[in-house]
Amino acid sequence: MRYEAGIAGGGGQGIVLMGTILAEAVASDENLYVAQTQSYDPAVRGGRAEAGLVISDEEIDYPEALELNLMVALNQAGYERNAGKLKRNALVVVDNDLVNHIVWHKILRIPFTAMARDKFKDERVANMIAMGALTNLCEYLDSSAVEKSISSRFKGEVLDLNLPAFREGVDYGAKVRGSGFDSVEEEDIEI
Amino acid sequence: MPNGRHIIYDYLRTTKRFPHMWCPGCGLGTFLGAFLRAVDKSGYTKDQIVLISGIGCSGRISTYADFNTLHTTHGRALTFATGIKLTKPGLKVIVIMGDGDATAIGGNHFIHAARRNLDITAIVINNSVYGMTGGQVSPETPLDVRTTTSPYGNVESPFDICKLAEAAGAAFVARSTVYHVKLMERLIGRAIDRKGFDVLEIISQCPVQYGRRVGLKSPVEMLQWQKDHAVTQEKARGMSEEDLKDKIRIGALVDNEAPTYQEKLDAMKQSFKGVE
Amino acid sequence: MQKAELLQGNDACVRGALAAGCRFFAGYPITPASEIAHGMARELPPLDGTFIQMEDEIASMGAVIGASLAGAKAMTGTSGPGFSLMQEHISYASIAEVPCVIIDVMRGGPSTGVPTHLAQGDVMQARWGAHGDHPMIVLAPSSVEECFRLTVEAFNLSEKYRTPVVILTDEVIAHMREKVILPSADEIKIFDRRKPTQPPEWFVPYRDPGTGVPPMPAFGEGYRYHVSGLVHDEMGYPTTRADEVDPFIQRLFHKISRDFDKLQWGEEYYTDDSTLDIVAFGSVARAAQRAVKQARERGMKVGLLKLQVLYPFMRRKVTKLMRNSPTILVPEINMGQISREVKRVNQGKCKVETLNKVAHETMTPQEILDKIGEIYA
Repeated sequence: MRYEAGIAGGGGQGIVLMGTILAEAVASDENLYVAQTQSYDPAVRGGRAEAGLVISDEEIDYPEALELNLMVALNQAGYERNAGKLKRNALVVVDNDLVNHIVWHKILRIPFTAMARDKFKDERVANMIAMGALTNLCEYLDSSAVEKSISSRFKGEVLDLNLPAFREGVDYGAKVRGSGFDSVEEEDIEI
Repeated sequence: MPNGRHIIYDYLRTTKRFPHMWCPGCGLGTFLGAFLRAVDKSGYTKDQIVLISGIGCSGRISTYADFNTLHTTHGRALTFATGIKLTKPGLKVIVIMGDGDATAIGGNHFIHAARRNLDITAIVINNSVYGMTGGQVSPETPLDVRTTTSPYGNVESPFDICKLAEAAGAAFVARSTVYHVKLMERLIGRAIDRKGFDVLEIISQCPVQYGRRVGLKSPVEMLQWQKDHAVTQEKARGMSEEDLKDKIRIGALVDNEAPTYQEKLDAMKQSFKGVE
Repeated sequence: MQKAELLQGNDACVRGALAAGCRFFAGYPITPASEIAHGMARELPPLDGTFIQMEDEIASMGAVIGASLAGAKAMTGTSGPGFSLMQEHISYASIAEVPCVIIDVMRGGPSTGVPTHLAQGDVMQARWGAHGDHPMIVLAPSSVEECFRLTVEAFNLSEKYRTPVVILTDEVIAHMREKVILPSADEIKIFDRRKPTQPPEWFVPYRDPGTGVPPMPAFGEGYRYHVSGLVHDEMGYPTTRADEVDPFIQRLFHKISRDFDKLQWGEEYYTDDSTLDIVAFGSVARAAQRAVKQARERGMKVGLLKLQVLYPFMRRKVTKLMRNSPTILVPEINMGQISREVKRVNQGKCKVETLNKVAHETMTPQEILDKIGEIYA
């Protein structure tokens, strides 16, 4: 088994942090191997940010995620950079407001950033909400393991902000998982 | 001369194949004598002292003196000294550099070592020229002087090493000439005794590569020049800026107490022990 | 049993260094090596070690050498541009025989290049970047676990041979996180530099004791000796005499080359019956590993030698492959640096194919597979 996930967005959206936390959660499963890679531009805010996750039940030879089973895109550019890496039946999860043009047959649009802004008054927790949702969309991500990884990384006020956001994401993911996925064919796109 | 035996026999290496490589009339021998007498009075044993030098004529001092000695790269002696001092704070670390060494290629290391206030004694022997490589212009060569690389006269202004050291944060800054040999010995002794980063500028003579280019025909004339141009701090106080213009201030110029790098580090490490 | 954990390549280097007994780090900020400095700045002071951020990389390397002379195991970490600045003092460490470890996390070059992107362009700089004729040990991990293990070994080798050791990683290996189980302290073999056993007055600092590696006292231990970047006689004093210069330089090389057979560290995959062998290192070796597996699934008899030691170049293992395979393929993210070494030791035994990429992206298994297909066609 080899499962690959790609997380893409811009600098400052906490993309690499997401990759790290999710990889740490997977690593705690004694039956799974995990490798996490990252790539970003020199700009600390803005620019390009990407994290790749390879999950396997055997030792991982090649650590980069190039054939994605799952893509999470937190902005349009992130989606476009990775669209070519999607496997045939891959699931694409995007931020509803930040990714507008998309062509795929298995899409889930979630307003991560809007939820973060409206509910938690802080756009920075969009990545926490996204991670929560992913625990219900990827069979190798266990919500309690991810929660443990988040808890070990933050404390005080930051944890008090991040943890509820993560849990909000978990609930949202459970809700949308049952409701099916969008599908957008080429001709549907308005340009 | 205790028991009739000259101090240099206790401090120069018996295992080294002498003679040394300095030219007749060079100031480095006089400096080395004063340095060894000051060390002898300091109470430090030879095992406790690390003597580090850069590259150039002054760099060879470390070869001759019987301490833990390190002959480093050009301009970087202070960086090696930093590693040694931080690893073995109990050792007395003394660095000897030339003017090109300390203020040209090593200028950055010089100001940062001063800024850190490491417990290091830095001695800059300033002969206003690159001697070993053939008499090239240095950051300490006065304006208009003709050297092998300023054949039409030097167009760059020299650094004032002491002011540079003071501005960079050195705790103790002093200057002597080779001619003022007793003062030189006293100042070396004071620098060794003190904690913090000490800078000592020694105005020295290079008869071969410098003196003959500026009309000072012999080592004696060069020493006479040092004598004529040096003014003590006391004397300088009574003089106008105009009178001081071509003079060399000698003596202790800066003497500040400030916590050293090591003291701040120790305090930081103490706080870890508190946590446990 | 040690716990499994998720660790980044750079952090694994930090952990390896600490496990090996490193207690001094001097460095200057540069990506993608920053995490090494961050880790050392955090971990060393509580261990009574020293971290210092110097004014530049030249100074960092000087401080590292000073610390080592004073008895500490010392290291620095940098990337290409900083590595260039360090060469002056790597040369010094080589001639003065000062143990120290330098990690170069390669990034896209030349010059400032592509700061956060992958490349393997510093291979030749690691070997020949320092001026003058000198030996060099260069290690190249290709996983997080190897970052730990080879950092420990880098210290062991530097202490054993009194020589600078370079660890070449690349941006992918350095920033990648992998699940690893690190060995416990008692499972790790540590080598400390040999100290003189005779009293100071009998001590001849640079006399060959037979191993090529003279014992090394620390400053302040009563052995007042002279350390110099000038070629020196057995006492450490400068010499220009041919009868002293020649044996000195010979000894510098010979102390490492005499153990050449012990430094053939590499992992082989499917090389028993292969007709095409890949020689790779660093992150490219990982892509090659997958490509080889995929090629085998397609019935192509491809093998892989993953180099962990780049220098001294692993001639023994590489030439063994050459005797069995008509073709060797060398994929790397540069215009051909390790392939030059492969060609150098080849001497007409087989055909050496290269696969080079310089767009500062990872080499993919597919790209290697395509090349394998091309060779087979």
